Amino acid sequence: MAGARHPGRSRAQSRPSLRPGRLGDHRPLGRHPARLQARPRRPRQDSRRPRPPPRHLNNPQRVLRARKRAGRPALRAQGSHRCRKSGWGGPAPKSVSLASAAAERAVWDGQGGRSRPRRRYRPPRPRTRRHLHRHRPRLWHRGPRWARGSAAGGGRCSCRPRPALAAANGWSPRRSSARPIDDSLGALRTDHIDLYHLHGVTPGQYDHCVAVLIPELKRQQAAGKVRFLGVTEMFGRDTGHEMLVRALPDDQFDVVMTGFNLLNPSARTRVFPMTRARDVGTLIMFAVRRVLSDPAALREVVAQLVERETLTPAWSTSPTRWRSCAAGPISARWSRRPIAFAATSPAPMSC
Amino acid sequence: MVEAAYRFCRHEPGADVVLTGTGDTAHLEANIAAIQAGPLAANIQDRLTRLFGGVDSISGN
Repeated sequence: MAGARHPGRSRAQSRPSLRPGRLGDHRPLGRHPARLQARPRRPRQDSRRPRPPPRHLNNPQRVLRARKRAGRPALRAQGSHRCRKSGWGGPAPKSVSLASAAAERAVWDGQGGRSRPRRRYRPPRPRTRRHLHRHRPRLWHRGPRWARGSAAGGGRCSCRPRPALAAANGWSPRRSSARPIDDSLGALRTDHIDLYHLHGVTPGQYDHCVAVLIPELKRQQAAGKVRFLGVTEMFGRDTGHEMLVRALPDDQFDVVMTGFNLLNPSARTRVFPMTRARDVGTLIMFAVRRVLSDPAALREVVAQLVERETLTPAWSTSPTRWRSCAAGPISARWSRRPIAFAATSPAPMSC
Repeated sequence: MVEAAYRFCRHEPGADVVLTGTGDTAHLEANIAAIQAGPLAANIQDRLTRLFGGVDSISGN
């Protein structure tokens, strides 16, 4: 006891205060109190450099338990993304382009969205990923396989503020959706996913989604692992948006991902009116794919459309002219002109 | 054409986000520049709508 060692002196007087304003702090220190007082606490120098995440973040269950013990809400809104129901966009909803979806896909699937012709698809180099971070994407989209291991660049996005994280599930009618969510959380080193997508749902699979997957996803949402739910159509097969036309009236999803491009703008009349009426966020995929980036493929597709009489030639009342252009050697007539809309506009498009 | 396609999608009412991606830095810059550019001219938009407005059988892949 301090009183026993220094009779007549109180405990606070028996030792000098170790820090100004903190009398009676008796924590053992290895330095002399005078030297300690002479050295002020240094401010953090590297506040801009992201610290490596704590190891426990690899385990989402531990994260959730820790948050529960601390009385913190399971959901944590990060970043400044606030737009509509899904919380994206902020004051300028479409002012920032979102990148990285196909960039990450290229790592594993070798697809890259097929938005560039005649390129060997290869994993994005770290330089490209760092370059992307400089643009501060608002949405970081990861697939189920992309986030595994350091070969894909690791799971963590080092952007600050952190973009909204979107993950796609390894959708399988025989598998519960809980495990892909846990896998994604661990791979992304986060405690929640902002947007979780059911990817590539065909009209025939939608019933299974409603009966099995969506209830499970709602449970995960209630547990705080997922903030918003989304669904992606299989645009390669469902070019008429049949699945979304069925899904949107059910009001199960906060976000939809739909195909929309120059050559197939049918979502304008079939999907967008419903998403706008229900305040559902809309992600556009297939904006540029092989046909729109490869002139030869574009000629071929236009020829097919003319054959099927789907395409309405705006400059001619006679479809036979289209047929003669498309059926014959295309190169003779088309190659001298800009692709696709050359016949309708004598000058190249001034875009 | 790629730039026109991105601009066409980006300024469509009802489209909140246009996804893009590439493994090439130059392409990434070009894509972002295209998405952040202004809308296509009105006459081009009208022409595209007249030409392809009724098409729903291709994905572009």
